[in-house]
Amino acid sequence: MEEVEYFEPKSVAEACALLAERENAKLLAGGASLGALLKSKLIFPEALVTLKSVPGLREIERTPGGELRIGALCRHREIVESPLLREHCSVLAEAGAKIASPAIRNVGTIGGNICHGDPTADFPPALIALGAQLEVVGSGGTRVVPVREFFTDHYETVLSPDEIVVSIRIPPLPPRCGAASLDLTKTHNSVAIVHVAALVGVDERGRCTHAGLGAGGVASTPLHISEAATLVGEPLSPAGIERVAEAAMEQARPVSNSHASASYRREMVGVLTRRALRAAWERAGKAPADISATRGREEP
Amino acid sequence: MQIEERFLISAPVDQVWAFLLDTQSVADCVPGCEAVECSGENSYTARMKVKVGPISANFDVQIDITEMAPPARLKSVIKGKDSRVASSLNASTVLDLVDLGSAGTEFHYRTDVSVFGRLGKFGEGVMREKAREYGERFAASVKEKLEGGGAAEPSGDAGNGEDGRSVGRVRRLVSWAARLPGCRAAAGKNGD
Repeated sequence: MEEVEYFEPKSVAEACALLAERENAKLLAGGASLGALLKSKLIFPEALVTLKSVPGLREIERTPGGELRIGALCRHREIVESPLLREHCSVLAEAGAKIASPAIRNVGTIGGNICHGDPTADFPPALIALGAQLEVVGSGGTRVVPVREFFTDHYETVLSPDEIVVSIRIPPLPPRCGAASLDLTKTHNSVAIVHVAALVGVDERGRCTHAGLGAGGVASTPLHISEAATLVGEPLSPAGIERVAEAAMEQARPVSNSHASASYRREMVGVLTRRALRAAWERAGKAPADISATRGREEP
Repeated sequence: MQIEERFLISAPVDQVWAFLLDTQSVADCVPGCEAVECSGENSYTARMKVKVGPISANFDVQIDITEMAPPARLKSVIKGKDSRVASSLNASTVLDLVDLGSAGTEFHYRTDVSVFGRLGKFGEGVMREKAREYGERFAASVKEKLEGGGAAEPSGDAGNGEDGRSVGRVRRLVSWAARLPGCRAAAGKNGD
């Protein structure tokens, strides 16, 4: 086993500097994804930089303007159990509850889940539908990256080697919203085959004011289905839903593996899009600021 | 995993064939392929890098040209391994050129690729996606190099200049390849 250096910085700046100095360093958050990757013996980092002693990365806050800020090192369990998120953005809590098992939810972090770049990860579709952004800090400064622009390929993101995601920002959402997060899995806590999350806002006259859709498991990255934005201005109609479902199927570039074929994945992203949009729309009519989710489980 | 690409090149079939015989130029079109060296008659060694996010594999490969029927068909076999990630790579390729006269040349290749070992186990869907992506990039590179007017200069030797290539330069490159030790067969068959 080759030797690996281990660093425990006390600030984000120190962590960025360590990453910048070493070409082959890996950042350690919770360790759920990185641990699996190290065990696979397919990566050979020369250094591990842990964030566990860096303060300020574990808070969940809501600003007076209604923006939600989630620290990147919040564990999945903290997301699921957060009273603030359950009240204002429960679709995220529902997405987190789907992840694997309690043991893994105690270890994994939302930042790690996003930065690992797995196209079947559970948070990105919901974050894309919500229009979420990531606060990124590097040696060169700070920048904000929309989640929908964050992923470039399997396990690849726009992050430079010395950059760290420090928080996830959910913008203030319209007063009447509904969201749904649906995934297709073989068993209760296995990896999603296809995952679709929808957010819909509605005004008092029943017209759509806001629509967002994210899809996972049908391309090399989580997808932003931009066609959803064309729903704005009209009440949601079967024709509108069908148009967005067709766009999702068109945009998908699935590949087959032992879990599901490409054609099945493409078919299912259309099915889940229709169901997620309908469910989100129904929920939008319920109560102001109720972004609760329907977690559908479909066993193939 | 099967990769297949079929596309039109606006260049005459003889020029495309000459390009194929310049293994360095063809290797330049393969994503991640470098350090190509002739190791015998119709044999070459190279390094092929496959990158999936944080995972990098460097395969030391042997490339054997198993059949040549100018200017129409070329078959090759690639075998290699990367001990660090305990994985191996096998690929067999059939390349067919169809003379379309003034329209140019149809370039059609079919590759059967297998990745064994840890990398193959890691994610077969990911590897299939990578194979597809590499195939598309290869096709785009070949088309770009040939439609510029001729094969590019071999990299690592004279740099990556692509300045007013011509059929004449292609012929000079083929002659250069023929002068590499042990590589006498390739250029000779072109009839240049």
